[in-house]
Amino acid sequence: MKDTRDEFGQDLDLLLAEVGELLAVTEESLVELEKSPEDAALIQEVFRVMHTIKGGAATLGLQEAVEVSHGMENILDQIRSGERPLTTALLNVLFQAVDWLKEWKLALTDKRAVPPNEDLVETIRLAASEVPEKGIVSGKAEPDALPPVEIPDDTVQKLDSAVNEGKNVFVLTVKFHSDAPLLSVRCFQILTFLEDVAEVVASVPSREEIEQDRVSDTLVVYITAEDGGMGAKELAGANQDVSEVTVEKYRAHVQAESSGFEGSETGDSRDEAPKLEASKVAQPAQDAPAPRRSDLGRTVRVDVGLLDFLMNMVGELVIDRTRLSQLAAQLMRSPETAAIGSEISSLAAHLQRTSSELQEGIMQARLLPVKSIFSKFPRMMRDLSLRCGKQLDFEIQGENTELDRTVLEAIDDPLIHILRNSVDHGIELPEARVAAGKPPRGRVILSAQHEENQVVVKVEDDGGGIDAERVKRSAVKKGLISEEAAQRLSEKEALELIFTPGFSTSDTATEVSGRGVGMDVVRANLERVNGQIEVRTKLGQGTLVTLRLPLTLAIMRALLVRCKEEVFAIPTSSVEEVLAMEDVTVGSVQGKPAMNVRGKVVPLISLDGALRDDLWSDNGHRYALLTRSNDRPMALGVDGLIGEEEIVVKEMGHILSRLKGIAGATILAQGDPAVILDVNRVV
Amino acid sequence: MGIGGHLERVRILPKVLVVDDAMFMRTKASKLLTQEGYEVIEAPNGAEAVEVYKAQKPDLVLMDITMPVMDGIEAVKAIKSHDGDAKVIMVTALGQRSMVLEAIRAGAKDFVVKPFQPDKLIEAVRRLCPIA
Repeated sequence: MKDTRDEFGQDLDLLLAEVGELLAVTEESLVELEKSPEDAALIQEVFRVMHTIKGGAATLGLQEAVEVSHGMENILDQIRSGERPLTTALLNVLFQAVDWLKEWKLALTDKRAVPPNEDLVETIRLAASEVPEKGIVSGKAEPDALPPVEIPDDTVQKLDSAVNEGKNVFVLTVKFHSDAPLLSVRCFQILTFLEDVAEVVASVPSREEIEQDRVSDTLVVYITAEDGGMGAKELAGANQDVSEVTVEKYRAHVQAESSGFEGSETGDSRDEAPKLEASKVAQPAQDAPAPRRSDLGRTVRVDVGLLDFLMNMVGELVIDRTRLSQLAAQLMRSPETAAIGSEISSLAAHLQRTSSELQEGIMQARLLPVKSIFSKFPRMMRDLSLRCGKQLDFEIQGENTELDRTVLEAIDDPLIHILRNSVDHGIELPEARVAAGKPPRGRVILSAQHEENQVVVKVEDDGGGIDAERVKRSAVKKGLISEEAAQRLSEKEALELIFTPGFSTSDTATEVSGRGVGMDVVRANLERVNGQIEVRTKLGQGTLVTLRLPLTLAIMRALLVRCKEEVFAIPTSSVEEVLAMEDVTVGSVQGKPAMNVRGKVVPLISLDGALRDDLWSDNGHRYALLTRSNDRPMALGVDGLIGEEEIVVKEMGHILSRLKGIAGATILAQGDPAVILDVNRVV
Repeated sequence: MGIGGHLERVRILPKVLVVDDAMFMRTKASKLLTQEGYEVIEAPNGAEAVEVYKAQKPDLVLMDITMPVMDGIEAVKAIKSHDGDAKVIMVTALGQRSMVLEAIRAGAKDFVVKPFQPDKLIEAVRRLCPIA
């Protein structure tokens, strides 16, 4: 469909995606290893990941990454085999290597030049060479070469006695390509399989030598066979890396190498190679029982764009289905067409079931475990706490909770910010904690869990909490609020100030938190995906930040309302109550309309007025929706209620989507488009 | 081309089980083998490979060595004890000499070295499992 990219590009994308996941795992494991450097399973895990990255990079010829991952693999192998302990210095080298690989991955993803690796490779080399190197460096282990064929005396004796017993002994000389990898294994393989077709009297090098990796590019095997050694020759020739196989008859007391023997036969093994094994190949599955599909290892990667497209298509189906139902209803009204109408009606019912299952399925496919973004946090928190001189236990709970990937993306930056805050502003220095009667190590817990139709992500720390008075002072100093207004604020309202643009409690932005984004950006990011953020704090005891997130963005329950002939969809989650105007008292506060809801005064805003930036106009509405805008109660006046429906959210062009108060669009069952309101931003 | 011509082209492809924890390597090998006319099934570790082998009895197994849960050596042993005629090709890195040796002792038929050259891999697969 869109297969215009070259094959290398596709392979690369695939590799990079996997490397990204692997690095995240490695980073987590390294952080764990720092706590328990003896954990063999963790070392093995990191080793395995490096091995995997190396293999993938080598396959695509990405030499720089091969060098780095290979270096890491070496060090880990030394640790794994108990040659050396995992020291902090080594761990730091491993961290550096992971950082480089992350850089490398980013560079390739963005099609930039890969970062230089010389320094790192040198560091790794030095670290690795502190102990005697093992053979795998650069992959070209050179075994002790033996002179090609020099038959040891005891072998000669063995051969001669076999000949004297009247056996036909043949000399099978197998030559390998000079670049054949793992030559000793190849020799071992050939020797092992020869034993199936012939009696092996001896070999040079011997089986023991081969097992010890002492081989050269020639293997000589002495066999007895009835077929003149042809079966053996074929078998040996049918091997990768074999360049030539010869068979000749062995004569007692004579060096096998001497030329000019009768029966000597040389041939390119490749021409006659595969017959032997071929004849033994298992019968294809014809008479096997019907193949049973296994669900193991059957996953594919899908572009999110494709899922969005599919979701849109399902939306279209839903609309068609509704039209079909309407058509059926029409047909059923007339006796001549009633039969066909009822047929269509049941068809529409079936279509409804199918399309909602389809919808469900696609939604499922968009879900990712939060692990995919959480996994990088342990490393980040480790680095942060080190830099701030703080001691920290960071814990993740519910990492397998699943979320729509768009939502996940939207909370990534906010979480980074919140976590940074918790270390930088929340957790106190060890001395301060001890003085306050707390353990010196601070604790931050990041958790995710399902709650009804939402996923709740929490960041909880046992730090100093947020001082509401300090927040007020800071806001006044920055001119965000007047002195008098500040005095009147409740503690909760004061906390709200941290979400004001331009606010930051820390008087000097520190290296850690001062990144130019504040909690206002965090909140804006969350609201973009219909999420909510709430901060609770107890001075001296800690802070709890709660993010409430929708499971998915692609579909939502919405209340459809009418206002001035226009239909609007409002996410049901943001409507607290619907009131009929005749049941409430509408008055005015400071000249602006407001209504009294069970003793509380709530500003009343006209929906169509709000969208025209004319908030207080035109209050002839029949209903009021009780909702919250920027966490303050608000009533939204509308003309009519249509009902509650599941709507499929459609992306709008980016010009429209920047409009205040509009979250997207949907297509209603009747086929008409409607705007989805973002109540939080209407005002 | 009539129906007959169409039917003639339907035949059962030899089935190769590709076992590797790296999805990238699995995909790469699968692509190659599919192009060559093999049906490919996959497993991400030794333990699942053994399960898949028992359930589907592939004609050939391409087995990585270093994998989580159960490594390639254990998997070869398990597969061989279930089916003595099983054909397994080990896919190995250069540093794993002694492990490949053990795999061959356990009954693996051949090995290819990572990063594999496509023609070498195909050659090894064809030799043990020719396309009809």
